[in-house]
Amino acid sequence: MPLSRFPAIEECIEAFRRLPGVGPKSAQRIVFHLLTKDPEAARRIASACASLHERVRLCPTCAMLVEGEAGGADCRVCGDRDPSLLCVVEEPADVFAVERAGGFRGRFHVLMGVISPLEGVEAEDLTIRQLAERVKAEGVKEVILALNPNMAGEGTSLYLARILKPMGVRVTQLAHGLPMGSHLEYADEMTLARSLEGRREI
Amino acid sequence: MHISHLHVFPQIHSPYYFYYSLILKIQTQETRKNPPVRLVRLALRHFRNYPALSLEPAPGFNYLFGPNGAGKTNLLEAIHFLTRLRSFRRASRRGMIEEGQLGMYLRGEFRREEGAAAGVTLEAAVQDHERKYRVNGKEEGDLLSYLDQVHTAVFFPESLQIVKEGPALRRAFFDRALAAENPAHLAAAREYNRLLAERNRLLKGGANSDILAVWDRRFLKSAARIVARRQRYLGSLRGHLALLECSLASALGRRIEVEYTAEGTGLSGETWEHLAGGEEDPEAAAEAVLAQSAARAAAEERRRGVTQWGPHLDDFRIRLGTRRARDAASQGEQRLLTLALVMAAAGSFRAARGEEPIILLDDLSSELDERCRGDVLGHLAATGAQVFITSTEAPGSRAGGAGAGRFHIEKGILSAR
Ligand SMILES: Nc1ncnc2c1ncn2[C@@H]1O[C@H](COP(=O)(O)OP(=O)(O)OP(=O)(O)O)[C@@H](O)[C@H]1O
Ligand SMILES: [Mg+2]
Ligand SMILES: [Zn+2]
Repeated sequence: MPLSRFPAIEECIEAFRRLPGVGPKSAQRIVFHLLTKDPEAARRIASACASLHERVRLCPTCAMLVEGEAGGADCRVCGDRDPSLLCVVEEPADVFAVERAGGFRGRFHVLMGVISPLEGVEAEDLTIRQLAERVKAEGVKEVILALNPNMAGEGTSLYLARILKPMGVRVTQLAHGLPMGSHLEYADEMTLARSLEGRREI
Repeated sequence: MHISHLHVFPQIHSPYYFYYSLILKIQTQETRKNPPVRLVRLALRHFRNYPALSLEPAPGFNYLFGPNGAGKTNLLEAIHFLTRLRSFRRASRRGMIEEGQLGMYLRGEFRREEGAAAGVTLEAAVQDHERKYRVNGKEEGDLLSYLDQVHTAVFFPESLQIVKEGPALRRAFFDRALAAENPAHLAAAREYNRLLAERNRLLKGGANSDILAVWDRRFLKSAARIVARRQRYLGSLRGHLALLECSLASALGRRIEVEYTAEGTGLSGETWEHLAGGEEDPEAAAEAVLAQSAARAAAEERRRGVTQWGPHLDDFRIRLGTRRARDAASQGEQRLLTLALVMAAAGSFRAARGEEPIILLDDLSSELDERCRGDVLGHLAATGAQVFITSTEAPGSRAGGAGAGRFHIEKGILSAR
């Protein structure tokens, strides 16, 4: 019996399959599990997902995720932190990675992506203008570029260095401890801490 | 088999004499130290016109003979696919599966030392869109590491296009040969292609000048890396071509020259050497030269929105004596020249990696006279490589020496003779 005779199940499998790290087989397993073994979980997941975007926002200053009352004041990484050090990352998940590595006392700025001409992502699509404004306004002395060690991250870093350096800040980059093509998000804490410590001027 | 002419050095008065004799000496010593890789057992299931085949080739020369359409080229293709994971003909993976079957399976045992147990077993299984490649029984997800196990060099009738046709096939030939020696070249080429595509997109879309400046710089560095690698490779190849000129002297009688030309910017090999001369670091030298190309092309590129220079446009000009081979060389000379390039690349590979690749020669006899054939085979016999040769004619009774393999093929059925 083909699955196409069950449009509701098929739609649900398709929705899961599109998530990162989920293949067609595991999508099917998840859906059958929710259907027959754990109907309560299905309701929990649905309601948690439905309110996710109301309960979590992006900080207007640094673009990090914020929960609770919206506004810069609630953003943990914008608040009570050393304003002279600013760490630039690609995604909110990378902020957690750097925090986990420990030892960083400065602030963060989330780019929300990287420049990628073939995918049509240009400087204007990222939070680069806000970054430049912060560097001017917050008394930043050093910008640490902690982008993923791949071609897109490398190109974006060079571009950021080119526009930030004339503003009179030191621009540094993570040391080459992370293997090319790896992901900050999955780097182990020791390696990340070491490459943060050994950062070098770009 | 006559191999004596391999030891005929160029004329004593030749300025290259010393150089030739030195390389030959090093070459033969190396061959002794590093035995070539050999296929000792091959098994095929549902590969083209072979429902099932098993073959135990000889360590040196192997003759595959039989009528047209028997499956001789298919057998070479199988060895090539098993080691390089692509056909040398323009064929899809699906096209290689026996008609009416869903999948194919190839398995080869290779040995590096005579009689030694140590070696490597490669397996390739293809079914529908699924592919499984195994090294010593373990699935290998990293294709580059699979491809680095056993190398093969191939000559088949269409190889001639390297000399005869446009630059794209030459670039593909030289880049592939280079990547076999130095797998890092593949990553560099991939990076270059991506930067080229990105730069073209930026040029078309009128990107902001800071982004363009950053990408220009990255593109230049990447281009310089490719060009420097190719130049260095040509340097090594020229040494091996010079050696071959000795082996093929009776047939060719003229020097083979390969020169790198930057078509996009009109820079010839001599200009390169002149401009880059005296620089210690070849990449920095190439970068300095290419920066001038870039500056010259800038206005035109902005107008046309497409990159006008770079290694993706460059060419390797091949000359026999003083004349360009594609215009002036005869059909047979072009064949011999192509063979010389294939064998020089194999020689360069051996010098870099310490082992002779397996040599596949399809239809060697057509258009080559007996003397040329003798020269080529003499050279190969001296290298000690394992060689597979197809022909419609049965080989002479003493061809390939005492231990040569002789296999008759007819309608996909193989019998040792
Ligand atoms: N996928 C396939 N399935 C079955 N047979 C195939 C397949 N592909 C090719 N063949 C057949 O294999 C036969 C042998 O081809 P091959 O090119 O090896 O011949 P050959 O011995 O090299 O002949 P020649 O001397 O003419 O070069 C051809 O008759 C062809 O029809
Ligand atoms: Mg054939
Ligand atoms: Zn914030």
